[in-house]
Amino acid sequence: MKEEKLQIENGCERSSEILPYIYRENSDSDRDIFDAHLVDCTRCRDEFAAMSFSRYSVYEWQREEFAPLATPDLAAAFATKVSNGEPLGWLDGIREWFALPQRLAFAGGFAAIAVGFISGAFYLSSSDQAATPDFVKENEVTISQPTIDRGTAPIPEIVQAPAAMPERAKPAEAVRTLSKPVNRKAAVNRGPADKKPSESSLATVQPADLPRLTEDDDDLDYGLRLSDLVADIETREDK
Amino acid sequence: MFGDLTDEQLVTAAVGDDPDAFGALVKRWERKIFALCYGMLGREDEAKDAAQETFVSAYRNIKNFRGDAKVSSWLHRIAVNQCLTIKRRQKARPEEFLDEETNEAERIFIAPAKSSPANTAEKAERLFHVRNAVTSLPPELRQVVVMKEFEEMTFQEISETLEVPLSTVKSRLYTALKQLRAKLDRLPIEVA
Repeated sequence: MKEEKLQIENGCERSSEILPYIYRENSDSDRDIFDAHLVDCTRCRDEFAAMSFSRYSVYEWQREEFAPLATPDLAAAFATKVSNGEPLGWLDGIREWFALPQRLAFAGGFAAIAVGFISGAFYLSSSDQAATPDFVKENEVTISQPTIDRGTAPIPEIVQAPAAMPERAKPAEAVRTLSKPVNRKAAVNRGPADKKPSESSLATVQPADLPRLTEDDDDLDYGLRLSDLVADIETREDK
Repeated sequence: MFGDLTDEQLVTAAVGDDPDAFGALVKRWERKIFALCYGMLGREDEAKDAAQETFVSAYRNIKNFRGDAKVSSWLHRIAVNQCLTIKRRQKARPEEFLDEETNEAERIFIAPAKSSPANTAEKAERLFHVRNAVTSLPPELRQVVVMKEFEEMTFQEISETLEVPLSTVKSRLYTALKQLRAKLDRLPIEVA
């Protein structure tokens, strides 16, 4: 913006310095120079006096009518009421309770974000610990959840009932007896009249010890057992 | 009684040992002389002292007034010399003004001690005329006056805000003050 020199038509070259002098926008040295000029220049002195009068009139008007006015706080009317000592209504009280100072609100928001971030990080780290590799998971499944062959009965306990098997061939018979299909349902639902089991069944099979997945299992067990194979081999050797 | 007399006639009457004539002259010019002193000194208390000293000096030297210049110019010259005397005194003894300078902003806005009903009514009338004079200014001139006097902006700030050259801002303010002077010149006002 190009500066153009203000020319006040009073015939003096220094008349442009009157306004900066009145409003104190010139340097101290310039003021001293213009002070001396005012003593000698009647035109600038009269001009300066006239403008000073107008300026002071406006200044006095501003001072008397506008300076005492309080600056209205339009942003938060309830805060003005509080500062003025006026009692608050219940609605203003609620607003005031929620209206935190800006810094405090900012700090609270930051703290909430930080807590959320830390919680998220903690959750992720704990889930990482819980997560295991796939091969480990497969092994665990194999160990903890053995496949149950519905066709096989828990043989070990049954095999360890040797009290009634004094001879060598007896275990094979016992095993053979066991290898017969077991009617579990019949064993479970056996009525009082059928409660007299045979000796061999008493010696070998204890229905109460047999695992029962459900009562609706297949009635007959046709599964191939290692004990059957062993028994066959021993029978053939005996022959 | 003296309302219709010119300044020169009042001086002539005062030279003829009519103290009321000089009182009328003071009444007519005291506010303008005070405004001039305020423009030079920037403080109301010092401006008031300077205006008082101006009229005391004028009364003492009224017999030396030759009439080859206007009375207003004669009074202005005395006032400027009084203000320069006060300024020199400040520079010679700056320690006396050290504390006062720190509170300059506060002291400027101290209300005058006079608060008689007559003065209050006169001030209210004066402010009414000033308000009318300012509001009657063209918008572009009134805008500069408000930004300068009410917002206390510098010429440069006004120039940047309005996006006009600096000389335009000064020219508008000068024109506004000139028009205000023409509208307020006839008002009977005294020093606050």
